[in-house]
Formats: sequence, C-alpha cells, structure tokens
Amino acid sequence: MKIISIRLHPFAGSHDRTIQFRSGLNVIEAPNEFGKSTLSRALWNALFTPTNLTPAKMRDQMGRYYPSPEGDHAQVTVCFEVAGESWKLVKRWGINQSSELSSTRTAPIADAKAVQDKIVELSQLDLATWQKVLFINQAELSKTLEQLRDGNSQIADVHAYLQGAAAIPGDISADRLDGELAQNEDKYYSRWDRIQNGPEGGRGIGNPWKQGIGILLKEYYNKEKIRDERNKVRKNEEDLDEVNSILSKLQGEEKECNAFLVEYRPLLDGLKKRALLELQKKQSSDRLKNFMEIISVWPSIGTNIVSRQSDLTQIDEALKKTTQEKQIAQQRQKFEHVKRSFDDICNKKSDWEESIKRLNSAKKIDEAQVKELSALELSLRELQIKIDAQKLAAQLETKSPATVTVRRGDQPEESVSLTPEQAWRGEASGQICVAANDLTITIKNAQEDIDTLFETKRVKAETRDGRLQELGLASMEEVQQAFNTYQSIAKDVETKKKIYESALQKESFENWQTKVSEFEALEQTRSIAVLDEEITRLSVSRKEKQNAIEVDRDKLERWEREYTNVESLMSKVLDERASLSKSESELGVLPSLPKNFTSIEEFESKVRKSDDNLKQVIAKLHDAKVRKAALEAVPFEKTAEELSNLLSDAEQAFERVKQQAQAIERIRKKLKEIVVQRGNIDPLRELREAIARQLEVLTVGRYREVKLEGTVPTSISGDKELSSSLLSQGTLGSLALATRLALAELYRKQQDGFLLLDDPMTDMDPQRRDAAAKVLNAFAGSCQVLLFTCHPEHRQQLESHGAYAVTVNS
Amino acid sequence: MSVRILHTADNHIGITFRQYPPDVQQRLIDERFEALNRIIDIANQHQAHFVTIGGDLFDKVAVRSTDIRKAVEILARFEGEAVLVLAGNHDYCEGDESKLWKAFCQSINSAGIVPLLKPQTEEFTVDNIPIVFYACPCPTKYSDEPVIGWVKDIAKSPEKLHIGLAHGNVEGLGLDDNQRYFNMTEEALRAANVDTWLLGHIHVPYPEPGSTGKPLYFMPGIPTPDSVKVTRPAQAWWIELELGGNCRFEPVLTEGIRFVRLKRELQNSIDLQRLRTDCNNLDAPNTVLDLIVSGRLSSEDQDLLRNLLAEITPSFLHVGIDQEITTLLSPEEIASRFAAGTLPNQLLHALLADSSHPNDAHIALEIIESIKR
Repeated sequence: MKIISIRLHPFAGSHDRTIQFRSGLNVIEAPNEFGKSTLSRALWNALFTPTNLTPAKMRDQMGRYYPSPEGDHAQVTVCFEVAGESWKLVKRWGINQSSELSSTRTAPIADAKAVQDKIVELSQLDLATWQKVLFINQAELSKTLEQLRDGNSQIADVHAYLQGAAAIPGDISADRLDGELAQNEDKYYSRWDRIQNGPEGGRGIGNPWKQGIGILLKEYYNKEKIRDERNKVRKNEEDLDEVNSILSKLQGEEKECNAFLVEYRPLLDGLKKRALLELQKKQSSDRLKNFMEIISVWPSIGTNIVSRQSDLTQIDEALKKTTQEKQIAQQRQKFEHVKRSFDDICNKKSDWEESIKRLNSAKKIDEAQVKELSALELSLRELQIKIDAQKLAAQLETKSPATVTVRRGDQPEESVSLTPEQAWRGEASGQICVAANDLTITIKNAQEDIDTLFETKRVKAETRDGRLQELGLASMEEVQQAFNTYQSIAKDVETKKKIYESALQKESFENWQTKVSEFEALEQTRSIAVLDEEITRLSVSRKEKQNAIEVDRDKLERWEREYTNVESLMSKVLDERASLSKSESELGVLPSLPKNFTSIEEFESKVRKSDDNLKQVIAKLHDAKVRKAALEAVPFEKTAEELSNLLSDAEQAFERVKQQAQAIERIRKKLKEIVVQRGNIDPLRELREAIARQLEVLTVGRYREVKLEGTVPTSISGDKELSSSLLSQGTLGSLALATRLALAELYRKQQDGFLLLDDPMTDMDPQRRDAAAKVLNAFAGSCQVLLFTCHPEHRQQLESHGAYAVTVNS
Repeated sequence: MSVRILHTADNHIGITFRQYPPDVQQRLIDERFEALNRIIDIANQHQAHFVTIGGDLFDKVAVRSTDIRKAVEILARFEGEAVLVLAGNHDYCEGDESKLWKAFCQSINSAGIVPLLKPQTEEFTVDNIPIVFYACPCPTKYSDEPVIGWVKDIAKSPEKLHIGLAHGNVEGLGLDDNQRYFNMTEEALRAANVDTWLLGHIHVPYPEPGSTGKPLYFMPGIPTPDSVKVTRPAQAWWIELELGGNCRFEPVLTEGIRFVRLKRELQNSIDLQRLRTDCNNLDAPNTVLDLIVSGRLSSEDQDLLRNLLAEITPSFLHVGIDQEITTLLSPEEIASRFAAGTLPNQLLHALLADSSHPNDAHIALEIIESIKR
C-alpha cells in the first residue's frame, strides 16, 4: 500500500487540507503544534477506524477530531495504490457518518463494515502490526530512548519493550510465557499432589500445610473445613436427638416405675402377712382333713387286717395248683416236640422204603454188559466203514426184456427188470452179484478180502443181537437208558437212607416209639401263657394283700403311738377347727393380691424389681442429662442445613479453581507443542541481522553486531562490545531506530506498505543523522516512508539523500 | 357454619444470616418477626378462629430468650380462639426439660397460645362446631420414625371436626432422600382418618391454588423467604372448614422481602440491557439479589457491566455477585491484538481451536495480558 494523498476536510484543526505523497521517503517538516500528529491520526483513522461506531464510541474515539468549537463531524479522504491499482477512501464520522471506497477497477463500496473489511484486505497486515510496527510516533520512539537512558531501574521494562519489538505487536518469548504459566501453575498447585488428587503428603485439615499453600489446596481446605464443621454439627444434632430419645424413654420408665411403686409398695407388708396366714390356714386345713380320715378308718382297721389274711391263704392255694399245672404243661410242651420228630422219622422211613421198592422193580444191567455191547457196536461200525470204502458201480443192459437177480454187498438179493430201452445202474459195497438164469456174475473188490469182512460183520452182529435178546432190549440206546435208570434209583435209595438215619438222631426207631407212648399218657392242661398270666395275677394280688396288711398294721401302731385312741384324736380335731377359724378371720382384714398377679411372691418380686429399675433409671437419667448438657454446650454458629448450603458453594468453588488449574496445565502443554513445532531455528536471527545491518550504517560502521537476549538487544559490538545499558543517548537512539526499522522490515517483508515515523533523529549528532538519512532513504527504496519532523536541518539532510519534501499548507 | 384457620409454618425465627453485612443481617432477622406480625394482623383482620403454626416457629432449639419472648408477644396479639404452636424438627421438643419450650411456656401470659409439644389432642368448640386437633410434634431434629401413627387409633366422632397437625416431609412432595425428616406417606395421612392435615416443613405450598374441596393436607410454604431457594411467593393458607371436612381455602401473601437469584449468561450489550430491565423490575429496597453472571464480553461491554452493577447495587437491600465474565475472544480479536506469527497469536489460535476447553484461550489471554502489563 502506497499513500498518494490525504485530505482532511475537516479533521481536528484542519478545515480542508490536502497533502500529496510520493514513493520513497516523504519528509513532512513543520514546526511543533503545526499538526503533524493530526495528520498522523487522520491517516490512522481513515485506514483503521470504521464509521459505524456506537454513538458512545463515536463520541469517545472521534469526537476529539470534530472541528472546535461546534463541529459535528470529521472527514478524511485518502488516495492510495495497491499493486498498481488506485483507490480512493472517503470516511466521515459524526453527523451523516459514511464510508466509501472506490477504485479504478471495481465498483464503489459504501457499507461501513464492507469498506473496513476491504481495507484490512488491502493493507495486508493485521491491525496490531500497523499499530505497533509501522505507525511509530515520536512519543513511542522517544519513550524507548528515554527508557534506555533511565538506566538499570527501567532496563527490564525497556528490554520488555524492545522484546515487544519483536514484541511490539504483542509478541512474548516462549521462555517468558512458560515462566509465567509455570508461576501460575504453581500458584494453583502448590502443595497439591496431582497424582493422588489431594494435599501433598496426604495432609488434610487435620494436619494442614501452613506455608506455600496453592489456590487449589486453599479451596480444598476451605471446603473440607466446612464439610468437617457440617459433619460435626450434624453429628452433634444427631447425638442430641439420640440423647433426647434416651431421656424421653428414661423419663417414661421413671414415671412408670414411680406410678407402680406408689400404688403397690404399701400393699407389700399386708400381702406378706397374708401369705403367712394362708400357709398356716392351709396346713391346719390339711391336718383337720387327715384327722377326719383317721377317725373314719380307725374302728374298722383290725377287721380289715383279718379279712385280708384269709384272702392271702386262698391266694396261696390257688398259686400252688396253678404252678403244678404249669409243670405238666411244660412236659406236654416237650412231648409235642418229640411227636413232631417221630412223625418226621416215620415219613423219612417211608420214603426210603418206597425207593427200595422202585429199585427192585427196575431192570438191572451191570456195567460189564454195557461195555461189551458198546465194544461190539464200535467194531460193527468200523467193519461197515471198511465195506463202504470198497464201492462198486454196475450198469446192466439187455436187448430184450429180462429179469435178473442182483445182490449188492452183503444185502439181500433184489429182482431187477431190464428192458432194451432202459439200462439199470446201481452201486454196491465190496461186491455185486448178478444172477440171470444159470449165470451168476460176481464182482468183488480186489484190494480186501471182502468175504472175510462180510463174515466177521455177520458173526459180531449175531453176538450183539444175542446179547440184546438176553437183556430183552432192542438196541444199544435202550441198554444205555436202562443202565442209567437203574444207577439213578440206586443212588436215590442211598440218599433216603442217609436222611432217615439222620432223623433218628442216633437212636433206634423203637426207642422213638417208646418215648411217644410215654408222653401220650400225660393229662391235658391250659397253655403255659395262660398259666403264667394266672400265676402273675395271683402273685400281685398276694403282694397287695400283704402290703395292705402291713400298712394297716403300721397305721394302727402309729395312731396308737401318736393319738393313743379315737377319743383323744377327736379332741385334737376340735383344737384344729378353732385355729382355722381364727386364721380366716385375720385374713379378712388383710389386702388382696392385685389382679394380673398370680402369687404374692410374683408381686413382691415385681415391687423389688421396680425399685431396682427406678434406681437404675435415675442413674441413667443423670448420665444422659450430663451428656446432653455437654452436647448443648458446644458452640455452633450455623445449623447443618446452612453448612450444607455453604459446602455446596465451596465444592463448586473448588471445582472451578481445579478447572482453571487444569486449563493452565493444558495451556503449558500447548505452548510446548508450539515451541517444538517452531523447531530449533533461531527465530530471532533475522531480527538480529537486520538490527545489526541498520545499526552499522546508523553508527557509521562503529557497531556491527548485536546480541539479543530473547528479543531484547542486550549489547552491541564493533571494536568492542558494549552492554546496551552503557550506551550514550545518541547510540541508544541509533539502536532504537535500527530496531524499529528492522522490525518494520521483518513485518512488512514482501508486502506492499508504508512506514510512518515521527522525528526519529532528534537525539542524533549530525554525523549519525546523516547516516540515518542514508539508511532511511535506502529503506524507502523498497517501502514508502512518511517521516514527520519539526527540524528543518533534518529535512535538509534527508533531502540531500533523495527524500521528497512534502509541502504542507496551513 | 365453618371454622376459620390461618395456617402457617416454618417461620424459622432465630436464623442468624451471618453471611450478610450487619445492617442487612439485622433487617433479615427483624423480617422473621415482621412476617409473624403480618400473619397475626391478617388473622385478626379476617376474624380467624385459629392460627396454626405447623412447626419450626423457631430455627433451632437454642434461640435467644428475648427472641422467644418477642415471638410470644406477637402471637399474644391474636384475637381469636387460639394460636396452636406445634414443635417442628428445627424447634423440636425433647420432653419436659426442653429449654426452648420451657422458656416459651414461661413467656405465655395468654390462654390463647397453646403449645403442642407432645402427641395429644386439643378440643375446642367454635360456633357450635366441636373441633379436635391431633398434635404430632417432633421430639428430635432428625428421625425416620413416623409421628402420626397414633392418630389412626383414636376413635373419631362424625359430629366433630378432626384436624391433624404435624411437621415433616411428605413422600413425593419434598426432597428427603435419606428420609431423615419425619417422612410421611399420603397413605399414612389418609389412614389417620382426619378431615384434613395442617403440615409444615417443606417450604413449598401445597395444594396448588384452588378454592374448594377436601385436600388431604395443607403445606403453607414459608411466611417470608429465608434464601434464594424459596422461589414461590411467601404465603400462608386461609382455610374455612366445615363439619365433614369440606373447605374453602386460598393463599394469603405474607412476604415482606424477597430473595432473588438472577443467573444470566451474557454475550453482548443486548443481554446487558435485558439484565438491567430484569433488575429494574424488582422491588429493589426489599430484595436480596443473588446475581450470577457468566459469559464472554468485549472490553467495552465489560465496562458497561461494571457500570450497571455499580448503578444497581445501592438500590437493593443487598446484592451478592458471582461473576465469571471473560473477555470475548475471536480469531479477529486475536489478530487485532497480536501480530501474525507471534507466540501469543499462535498459542491463542491453537487454544481457541480446542472446542472442548473453550475457556483455555481466555485464561491464556489473561496471563499474556498480565505479562504485558
């Protein structure tokens, strides 16, 4: 952006003034109070103060520029160029406020906000850069120098200010910012254990930290103290409730005990006396009853004894007879056993005899016969096998019908009818013999003597058949079956004999017969069970009778010993009746046992217990009252409800502070991330080099290097190194201008813009002014510079190096 | 013919209000008595037969004796049949030894003040209507034991009007999670078989405003607020009861001062204007204002807020301010303050982008500004 002209019509003291500018260095020279600052402010406001301010803001910000005494508006027109395009900006503040921006290429913009947005776009740099870097009025520049001159006490601020140079637009070094954040973090977290999320070392309000307490811990202690207080108050209130409940219960018990004792204690003596009298009365009554019973029995007790003795004799007789009957019954019981054994013996004897009969009727074949027959059978089967092995086949044919006789092996002959049509075929064992008419053809196997075989077989078959005939049996199977049957019966006979002999129990059958005859002679009786029952009954009855006799005898002896006779006992009866009557009359005036009590003992126990209870209740009441007084004596200013409300507020405050503390942690983290992103590049190298370059020219080569601490120039060096705190005013002025120009260069960089300076050479000697004029002219080669000065010699020096002197009409 | 009752509760005489400056504190303490005075005035004006106080006439059992006497003097001005004063949970009666109630009884010179300190019935006859009051006072501050159980066991004549008086939470009405405050159920209240219950404890009126019917119970609210928690207008119940329990009822406003909490999120000058209007609509001399403002404002609007607060504060009885206002920060604002490429510019932009922690950028700005200062 290059400023072509500015018109103030009106603005502050200028009714209508136009100033033209050129590229390069424009020197606006005018005496003080002539209006250099007004021109500077007009340019600033034209570019950066919108016209749509609120009335209050308009009054505050722009009111001062309305022409006095009764001006109601200010207006500025600025013509400028951006990238070769010419723009015209007209702004009016106050009455009929308006903005208008037009160019040779685009349509005019009249909306205040749109105009401002477009200006920002065209100016390419943000507002802060313009304000802090490119618009440098004399006050700011001289303040820098003044602060540098002030020496050590101000040096930090000056450094900060210079830091602000990289920091003038608001920059701060990462270290400084992190340091501040660290301080803030510490301010919040001091004595706070972030891992445990509680006080460091677990020191709660019971053992709190006294020094170095951070905001978080302070809020924590605050809320915990309120909580503790609330809990104490609530506990006190609950304890008080508990004590009051106890007191109330105890007072009820005390009242109940007192009421009982007042009503019942006076009855206790009378009731005790009643208990004694009632006991005496009962004893007397019991005695009288006893006497009357004795009197009713005494006269007849002797007769009773005699009668019972007679009964005893009869019982003894019956007992004797029954015992004898039982003995017979026991013998008969034994007979029953012998009879059952004898019947068993008879049965087993009969079985044995039956089996002998069956053996005698069975066919008896001995083992030798069976063996002989078996051998014959075996021999016959072997011969037959031999014969069958010499098999022959024959075929008979005839030309005319004929009948022949055929005999195969040792088989009987058979008649065979032959025809021409059909041949006869047959097989035979050993030999085949065909006979027709007189012709007999016999064919034999030549290997064996078949005839001998046939003969041997015949002889053995006859022998076998002879033996079978002798035995009366048809086959070998029948022989074997008959042999088995006989053997089985013989074994059965043997077994039954042994059973029978075992039943005899080594006695002879005749002995058994004799025993049975003897027992059958015994007489009939009742069963032993019946007899036992009868004997028991008689024994009990006998015992009872005997006891009764003894009891009666004892009574009689005792009565005679105690009362002598019936008459004497009657006299005692009269005495006892008199005593009873007396007790009854005494009981009549004594108190009765209250209802709900079953005995005087129970009543007395209850009264005693109530007495004890009352004493205990009174003691407990005393304790409870002491405890209550102690609880009430604790001074609490607030109720639990009030403290709960305060606690809620304190908890919220704690959470708020905690969030703030966490925010600072996050900010630090973010800062570190940004610093890392910036990398290890020395961000200030460019600044340092730019300042050094400008300074070298401004000090005519005396100083060529600058050292920065952060962004603060701390020392300069040429032939020797000098701390910035030791520099002369002139050198400080040069350093300040060099710094400003370096910053302007850095921030403006390739952007099209201008720099506004107000009397930057005031404190410089002529040689350095000359150097400054060179530097400024050189700087203006790439960036328009608007330089205000009230010194004609400065203008001349600048002009001598090529600057354009701007004419300012009053 | 009907029985006329003015029913109140929870006067809480004896609250200290220590959190307020001395002059405000005294005004608030006095207001407890003034509210009681107003109730008695209204009762006399409407010729009430009874004034019933359903517990917590006093805030605690340890109340200054001068306050007790002062309260009794006010109650003694009642011209009707009787003022029935039930012991609540704050001013519970633990028994005959209760210091508070002993002092209260000793201060009474009028037969018209009837303290109800133990479970008991009190019988009256007004305009030929026999009335039985069933008093169920609190014997402790906290309890989960019901105190109204005994009422159901008393035989009740239909020829009489039966009115229960109790203090405690009603399940479903108040918030008493731990059931520490003599919790009563509607079922238990109904089972007592009285014509109605006059209760206290919840500082919220019940039933909803109406005029006739047979409400199971009346909860009068608080006669004058004691904190910002009381959001409803302070009131007592005017009740006209007939035999059988039918009644006409209406709320009677009793407040003298108000506690108002205004919680506002401020974003711009329009919000500030609204806040001003809201404050102007309040009865400032009789209002304790608890102002909670938060949000982000431009520097200019923050100045306006400061001016506004300075302007309104003197007119109110008291203003408590909880302010969490941060400077409005936008990318444009950052650009206008810090040149591009500067560390603050980068940091603030990065923080502003973290939408989950919107305040971080503002806190960072404050720290940066503090460095610059």
